Amino acid sequence: MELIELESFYSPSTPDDAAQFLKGNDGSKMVLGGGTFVHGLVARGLLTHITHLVDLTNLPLSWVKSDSKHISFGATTTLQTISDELPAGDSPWLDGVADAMKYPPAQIRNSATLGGNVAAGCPFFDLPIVLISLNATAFVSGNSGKREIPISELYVSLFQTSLTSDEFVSEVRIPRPSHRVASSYEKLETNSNDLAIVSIGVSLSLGADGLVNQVAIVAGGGVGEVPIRCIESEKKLIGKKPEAATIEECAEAAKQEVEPINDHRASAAYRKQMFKVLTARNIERALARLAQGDKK
Amino acid sequence: MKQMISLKVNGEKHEVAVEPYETLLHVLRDCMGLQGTKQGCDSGGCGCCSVLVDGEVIYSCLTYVHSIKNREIKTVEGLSTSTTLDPLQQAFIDTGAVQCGYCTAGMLMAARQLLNRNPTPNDQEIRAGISGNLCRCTGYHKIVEAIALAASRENAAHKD
Repeated sequence: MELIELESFYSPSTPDDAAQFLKGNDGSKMVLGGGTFVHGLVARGLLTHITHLVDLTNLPLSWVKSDSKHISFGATTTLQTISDELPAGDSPWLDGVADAMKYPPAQIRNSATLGGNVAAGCPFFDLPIVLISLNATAFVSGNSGKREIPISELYVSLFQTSLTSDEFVSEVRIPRPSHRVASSYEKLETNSNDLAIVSIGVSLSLGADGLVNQVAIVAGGGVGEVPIRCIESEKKLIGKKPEAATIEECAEAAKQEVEPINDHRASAAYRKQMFKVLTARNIERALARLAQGDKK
Repeated sequence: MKQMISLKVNGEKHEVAVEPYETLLHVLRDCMGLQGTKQGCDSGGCGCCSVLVDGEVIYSCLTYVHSIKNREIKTVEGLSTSTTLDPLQQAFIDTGAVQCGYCTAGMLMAARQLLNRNPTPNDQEIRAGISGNLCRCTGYHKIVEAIALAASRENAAHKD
């Protein structure tokens, strides 16, 4: 993973220093979180123009904060810290986040950061899929000030985000729902260090009448260049009683809604079929989590 | 351009001249002669380059050395004292958990962090703890057995 053209490795200690260094970036400066995916980008020949790395891990952005309106995470919070500090009381709302944290091995959990995970623009990563299902927003810092981008709008194409070259993610915030929500995440993979064959994030809630009143189904892995919100399949569930036939109809719609890739990991047809299976399974798991909470 | 940086490895402070693109793995093996840490896939897929940074296991092949200046690094050479093996090393010997040996250093470091965080792991937790490390010889059974044995010996020693 050597970037032998690299001229400098800069580790700013404040967000302002980082922004200042990135001012006027012509694309030769790349922001680094834990750096665990750099080799993947180098191997694809995507970083030949990079001559400066900007390591954000010394910024004071490693934290998890929770209040009545949100839970938020600083950009340099590692996956392990997220896993350790998820409030137990936020189950089943954040169970999908906890699910996602179980996939990477300890070595990646200890290095990879939330900001890097979100900003890498990689649809094979776990967290962005869950975050989109939970309506999370990225807070972005740069020389022209701060702005907010829903994570669902962050991804443009494979490894491309809507961040400008002088911006970086400083925080991710998930809005706390006013009603009981459960989430679930699952990834099909060949081993713990490979990219996803297909992955899914689901969040849903039920009204007092037992009908689904909110649902998000997000496809990741090899289903496209960016994570996909499966709007048509969501429509099959919303306002309905979540019975087996309805879930089957929703899962079938999800299968039709994704257009996966063919590669050495899996064929497109297999990915489609597995996405259907995962859709049904994760809707059922989220429903079970809601029901479990009701008994308490 | 090379820059001098300060690294603390196995309790000793070192000054090394490194390029901005150099990884911790390269510096350990080729600049400091600590070749217990192995280079395998060199892309974060096999785990044989695993070392501890401030007690947390990481892939040294994916870690830019400039990103961990002034932090405490422990390699397999730092696991034992001059006279006593780490309980994990002894258990790997006693259960026959080493075959070709190429994964062993990384396995030991991943297992060290696991036992530091969870002194009484069950088999499933042990397997999760070494899920970032590949072994193509043992089929993992002996390694899992070794880690469980080391855990039980460490817990017995604490009770004494």
